[in-house]
Amino acid sequence: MVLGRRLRYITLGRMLFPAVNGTILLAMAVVTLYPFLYVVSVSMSSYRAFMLHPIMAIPREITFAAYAKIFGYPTVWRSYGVTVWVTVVGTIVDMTVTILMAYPLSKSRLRGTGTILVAVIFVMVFHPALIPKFLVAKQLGLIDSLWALVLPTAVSPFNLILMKNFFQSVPASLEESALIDGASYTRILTRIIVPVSMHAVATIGLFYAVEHWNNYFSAVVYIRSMTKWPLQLLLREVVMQNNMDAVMGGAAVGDLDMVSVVPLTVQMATVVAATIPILCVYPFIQKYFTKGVMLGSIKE
Amino acid sequence: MSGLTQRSERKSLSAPRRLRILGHRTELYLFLIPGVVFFILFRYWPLFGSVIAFKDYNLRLGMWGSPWMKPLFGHFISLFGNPSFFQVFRNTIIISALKLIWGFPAPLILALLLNEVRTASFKRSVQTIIYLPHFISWPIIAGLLVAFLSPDGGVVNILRGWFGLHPIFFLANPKYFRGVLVISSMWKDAGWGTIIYLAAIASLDPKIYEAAIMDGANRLQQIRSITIPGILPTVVILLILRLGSILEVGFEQVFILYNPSVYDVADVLETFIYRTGILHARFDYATAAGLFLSVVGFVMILTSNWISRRLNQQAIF
Repeated sequence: MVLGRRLRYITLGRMLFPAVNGTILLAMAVVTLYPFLYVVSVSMSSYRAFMLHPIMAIPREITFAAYAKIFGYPTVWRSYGVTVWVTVVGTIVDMTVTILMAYPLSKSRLRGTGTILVAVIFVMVFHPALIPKFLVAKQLGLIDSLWALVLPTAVSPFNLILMKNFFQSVPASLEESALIDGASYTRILTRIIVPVSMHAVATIGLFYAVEHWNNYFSAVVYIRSMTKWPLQLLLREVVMQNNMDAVMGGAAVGDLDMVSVVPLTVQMATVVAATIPILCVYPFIQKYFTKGVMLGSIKE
Repeated sequence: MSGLTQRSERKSLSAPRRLRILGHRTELYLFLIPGVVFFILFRYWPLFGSVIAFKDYNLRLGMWGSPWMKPLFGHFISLFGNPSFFQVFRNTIIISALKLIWGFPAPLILALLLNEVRTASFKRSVQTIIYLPHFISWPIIAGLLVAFLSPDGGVVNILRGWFGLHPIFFLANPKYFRGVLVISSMWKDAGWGTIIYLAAIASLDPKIYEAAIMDGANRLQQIRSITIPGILPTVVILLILRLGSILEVGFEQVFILYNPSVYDVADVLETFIYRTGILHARFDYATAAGLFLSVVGFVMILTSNWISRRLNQQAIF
């Protein structure tokens, strides 16, 4: 009888559904992954192998010639340096300002915080357009300065509110006992609040960092000198405008094979060079994000 | 009893401390300074600077010194009289609508599918993979697209060749360009969008499911009567937010992918503003267009918020 019930349980639908579901999701995963496999493979294959096998998922005739080529140009290193500087400095600035601002805002009884919060949300919904932002930067003398890639985006209202909420969920007793012991708010913030919210803080920090690393449009608007180009902008030149002038920085004399068309292998190598740090950081994002954010919301 | 003594204790603690607490509060206000300065400098100052949409802006005279436009709405009049502006506006709406129709349901459906997976490791692996493109920059995705969609040597066109179809230059073809925008945008963000839906699904009470199973409901019925109504508030809120930004159409994506052959369908409000403002330096004219964009977006958010509140009692403000 038990067997009968079990057999009735196994209907066609019940067997088919997980299989179909799994196949769809697997297809999604493959579609997501394949472009990366392709790019890496092409970048590590010889040009001849690529011409013979334009569709690939693993490299053929492995050679690092494309990488040697792009890293032979000092402009590539300089762009790397620019992007690293912007990412490091930018994230430090972002986090400092955001944490400092989120903490008082998390104390709803503090006078003025309500108004400030409303002001922040208002400007999030009704934000200034590109040109006024550009003119302000011009008046502040930020045009063609790397600081223009750091300062105008220092605080994201969304992250600010996220941070404020996390600070609010820290048990008040921790703060109260520290206050009674005579601690200053600085000490409380640095020694208690931030360490306790570390998962959230790390996640937001990583988000800011990725944002900085990937940003190319700010440079289009604010940067004028090629020496200050971040990596993404260089990538855009190589891939979209399909020219290596920017990379070669004028040293085009000896490189006849690059002048007319950029071989796909080299383009893909540039793409990989621009993505590698993100791919390295991604496992950390996964770790902090899944642990911190999900736990935080479930704990409620 | 103990409450009374506690209160008197606290009072005696705070009396000599009252000065100290005031001092403490100053510290908190000091913390606010960098952030407030940021918002004033980089958000409110430009916001007030939008006033040059009504002025005849002169770089030397600056924001305050420049004379008012005669007539005051002169820039807006020439803007709306400009036929390219309407084409640009049309493109913005069309692309945004396409992205909404295709892109909004995708994360929801994916989340529902993911939720049905019983093997934890498979679910986790798929999630890890589909979150990844969200962290990849548009220049990189553009690189991928150029490689894949290239008319000679690109994977897609080679596959077309196997079926006897002729190659298509997707990125330069007005008929296909919008499709490229929509699909690549889904590739990038559909996976990431599942997070919030999965969190909403996870917050539903499992007991309701158990009751339904005991009543004999199969998977599909469970999804239809429990899961979907359960996360409907979340879906609505996200839809409100999405509609509020209907005129923002993924500028960074369009900007890096578009080229003169597809201007007719790809030029959107923000690229128009960039060209007229930054490239042609018509600051006041471009600011007028930008102000139009901001105001319409603002009205959209307020409207969709109001509509939702009437329909569902779900609202953000």
